[in-house]
Amino acid sequence: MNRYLIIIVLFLMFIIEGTWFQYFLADRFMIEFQWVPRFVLVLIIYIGLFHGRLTGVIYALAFGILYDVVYGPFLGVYTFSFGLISYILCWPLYIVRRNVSLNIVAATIAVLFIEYFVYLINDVLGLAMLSHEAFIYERLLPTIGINFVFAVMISYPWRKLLEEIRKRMNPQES
Amino acid sequence: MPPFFSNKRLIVLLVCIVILVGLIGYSMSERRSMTWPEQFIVDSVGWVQSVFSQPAHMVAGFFDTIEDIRNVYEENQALKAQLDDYATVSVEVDELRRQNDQLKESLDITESLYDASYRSAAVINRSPDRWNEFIGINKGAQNGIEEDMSVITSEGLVGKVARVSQFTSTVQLLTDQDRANRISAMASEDDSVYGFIEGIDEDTGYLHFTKIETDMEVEEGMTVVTSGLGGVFPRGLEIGEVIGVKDDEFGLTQSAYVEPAANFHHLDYVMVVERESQSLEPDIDPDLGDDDE
Repeated sequence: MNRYLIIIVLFLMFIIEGTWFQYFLADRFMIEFQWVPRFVLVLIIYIGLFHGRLTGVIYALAFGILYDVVYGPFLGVYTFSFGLISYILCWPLYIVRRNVSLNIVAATIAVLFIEYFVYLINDVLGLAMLSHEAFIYERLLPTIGINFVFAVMISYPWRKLLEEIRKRMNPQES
Repeated sequence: MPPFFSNKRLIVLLVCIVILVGLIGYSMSERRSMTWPEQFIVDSVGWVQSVFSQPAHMVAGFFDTIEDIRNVYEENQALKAQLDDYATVSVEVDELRRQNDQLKESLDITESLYDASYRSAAVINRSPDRWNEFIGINKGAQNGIEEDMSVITSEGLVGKVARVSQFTSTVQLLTDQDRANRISAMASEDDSVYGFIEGIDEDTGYLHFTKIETDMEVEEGMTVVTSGLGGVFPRGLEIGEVIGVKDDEFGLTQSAYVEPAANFHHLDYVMVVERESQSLEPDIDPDLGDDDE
């Protein structure tokens, strides 16, 4: 039952990124800097760390497909990059899971990787009209900032929920 | 610990990259309409998005109302000043319209580039990674929306329909940097100056109005509208106002900066414009010829 809660939270976050965030934050305060919300990715990295690599990659692929179909002009970009980064980062180790700051660092690295990957794809295809320097200052740093803040804010309730579900799924471990 | 990338994983990764490149190539191919699984996903997500965006529009509208109230006195003064002219202008318009109808009737003209019909739609999403300037609207093929229809707000042109699903569609804004995103436009005072609108300048936020003949006079303050010559948009949709003019890099044409009339940051409701006049006779339209093969 609780696994459905995870899916619902992820889906709500996916919807909010495209609707509420764009109306209230992006359109009013995003004239000079571009803050790109990658909240779903942050949540998925936590899931991967707590519930194992395979679960994380499955969620990443599912939501990557959603991003590609709903928003992107290019299919496959988000599916590939979400899947790859969650596979690389989600070490199923007790130490990583235990340490809050390592969780947050992993989520931030994931955001950094995704931003760079999508920038490179757009650059190769000639759609990115941003120089590399402008990209870093106007886009990458604000994006990492806002997603870092989100990762910190969400860490306590989200980790607690994931831990609860993990214990229920394999009760012999604890 | 096993090595990070074993042979098997490396092969899987390479296969994934090949699939990725293939998919990107497939989605870049010209005139691709959405397949039914895509339409299904986009429509189901779009339904949830329209539920979410309604309260958002209401709250955003509330903020706008507060801003309006602050400016109400100055606006009132300006409007009062314009109202004096209104009576004379409206009489003149009526007179001209009647005259125009009579003249058209006598010449047997039934359709013009200005003819268009309008459908209103609400904005339900905007792509969160701002690499492309796409917005989603809550009307689709079932409501009669087709690809390449132009999209306006009350202020001016904002873009054209890029992808159509059954109940939602995606609009490509004028500010998108896609190379195919160009619009035949004209600036007019005494005689018309034709050119193309080609994307936006990232730093200033002005649209590029290019390919203007060198001997034409373009001045600041001229209003730029769609020309209707591209066969896609109707004539006379407002795009913006000329801010500055410069010569092109080779000196063969001029280009101008145009301040867009519509506000691309605040899109709540838009109107989709359907051009009524046919662009080409069906038997000489090359696109229809391709379908027959």
